[in-house]
Amino acid sequence: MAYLEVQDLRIAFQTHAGRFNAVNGIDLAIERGEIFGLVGESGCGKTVTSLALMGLVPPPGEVNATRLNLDGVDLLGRHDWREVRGRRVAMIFQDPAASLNPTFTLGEQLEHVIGHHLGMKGTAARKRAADLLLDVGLPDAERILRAYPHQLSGGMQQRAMIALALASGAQFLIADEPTTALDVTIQAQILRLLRSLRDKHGLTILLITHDLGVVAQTCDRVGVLYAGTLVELAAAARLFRGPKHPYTQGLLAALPRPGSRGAELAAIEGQVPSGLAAITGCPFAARCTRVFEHCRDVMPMLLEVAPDHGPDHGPDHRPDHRVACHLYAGTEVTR
Amino acid sequence: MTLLEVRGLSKAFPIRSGAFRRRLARVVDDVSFTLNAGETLGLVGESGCGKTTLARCILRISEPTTGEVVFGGQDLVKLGQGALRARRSELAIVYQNPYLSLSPRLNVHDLVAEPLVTHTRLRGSALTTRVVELLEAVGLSADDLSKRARQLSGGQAQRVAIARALALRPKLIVLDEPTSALDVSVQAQVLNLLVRLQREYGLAYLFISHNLDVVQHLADRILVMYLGRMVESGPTSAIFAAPKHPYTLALLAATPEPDPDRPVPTITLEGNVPSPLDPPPGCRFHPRCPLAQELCRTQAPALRPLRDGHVSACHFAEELPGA
Repeated sequence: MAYLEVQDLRIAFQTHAGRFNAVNGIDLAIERGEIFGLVGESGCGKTVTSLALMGLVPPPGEVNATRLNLDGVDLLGRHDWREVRGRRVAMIFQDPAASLNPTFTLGEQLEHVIGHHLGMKGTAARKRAADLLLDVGLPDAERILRAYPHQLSGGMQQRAMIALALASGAQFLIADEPTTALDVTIQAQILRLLRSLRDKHGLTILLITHDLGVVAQTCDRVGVLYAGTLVELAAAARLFRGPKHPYTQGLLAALPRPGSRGAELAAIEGQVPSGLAAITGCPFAARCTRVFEHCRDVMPMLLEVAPDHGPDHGPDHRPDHRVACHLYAGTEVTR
Repeated sequence: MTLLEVRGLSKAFPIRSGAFRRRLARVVDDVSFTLNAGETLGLVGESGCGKTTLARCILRISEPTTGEVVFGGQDLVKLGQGALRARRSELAIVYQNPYLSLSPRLNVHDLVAEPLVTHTRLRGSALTTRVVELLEAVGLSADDLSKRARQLSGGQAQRVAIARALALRPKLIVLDEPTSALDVSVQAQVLNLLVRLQREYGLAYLFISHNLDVVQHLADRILVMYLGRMVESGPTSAIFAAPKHPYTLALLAATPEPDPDRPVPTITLEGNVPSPLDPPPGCRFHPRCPLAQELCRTQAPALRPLRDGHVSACHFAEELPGA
């Protein structure tokens, strides 16, 4: 049994304009100690998916699934989330300055969380707070504990935010665009920190980002979301060496890269379908360059790519590359 | 043909520190470069390196403290308001976030017409014809005339901002992170548009970005800034093939590429960018530079010309490992 199991997750919002489907049936399984990347463009449903794991989907959002299970704890239909939030799952966001409380010092904020979740007080709590700061690469703990968030740089704030997330003892970290607001050299430091925390403490990390480069550099496995649907799922190296879904291929082709100077970039024409529209068939059909009749009628399922497709059978082939596309007549995966 | 020449441009802001003390933060410090007609110069650096302030000084949205901005043979810094206004039609700027740079109260027609009304005598149907022409040049249509910015997608809104910048047939457009707020598929559309417009209208671009992959896609030459100073400049291909400053090397190494087979970065930076109020002595980059030596701590390196039109401010430019 996987550490996190999500089956047929659906999230919808009843709006004055009708029912808005943000997530349309996602299946995911994340193993303990894995860094899993959920990648997609604005509005694809990546953030709301992660919020569902903490019971934070705002009303009037409705969350439905056939299974939603974290480390043996059932998250479905839960009313009391105290056992989950903080204790098991912690979250960090894009803008650490907006997530930290500007009116308390970092010491106060850390000790509050440590006191609440671990029952430690006084010098024990302070010692634990200092250890946490050391853990996230802030060795000057004495000064930082006394500092207010605004006295730290963006990179240090994000490190402090990670310390705060870990203070409760959570083993599952959701990082929602954790480096988008940071400069590239600081981004590299934070990504390195996330990997080292996984190695050291066996954390499981769900990394949500729009940046394919960040995913390639940080994640073990990747899921590509499009219009609330998981269209491709694979080990990061496999996905970037041989993307299968036309949308994934399109995203990678649209990126400017060293050597692309002056060349026409392969932009994906058209727009993402609105969550208000009922989609029959493949959600990408309207923008796909390889669309055929079947695509408009039948929604493709996320299936294992048959090993005789593509250039990557061979010694490193693992049966772990799924794609939701009619171009690949796959064999169905049994759950 | 040289369109723009910036000579020794500096901008210092007074910062209050304590009741009676005022200190100067030199945000842009002695920057010089030239830009030819029809050419793209990429301006690269992290937050606070002074790239946006430099652009604002060139357009005189901000007054430079010292230095010259020679545009089409005339020093813009010395111009009075009236003369400056006449020259301004040759310069335009596109900002990062179109929802902030475009007035929410105006519709697309009025947004694009505004510079034409201010600077030309076009009115009525002739004005509308020109507005539609501009919208079509950026891939929009007359159907969009009555919309407001918030009714447009990010990519469409940025196209309106570009149409507005094109309205007075400028020679130079400053692009300040024009695609940073956009999704990659939309970013590709906007970059393609910028390449096409440059070809069609012979525009020169000053392209500001923190994303090196985006910059290299457009730029003929690149200028790298760190803490207000130029640290390196040169032709794009030369900078990417063999950067001659450790900061450029680190920026390239830190840029995440969607390629699992890319070799492990040869250089990583620790620490943060220092404050321009207290720039470190010697080379401003030395506290973060993994290759810093004694000389770097005491003596500020001058910009030195190297081969291939490459210029670097590093004492050890010749000894850098290849990237």
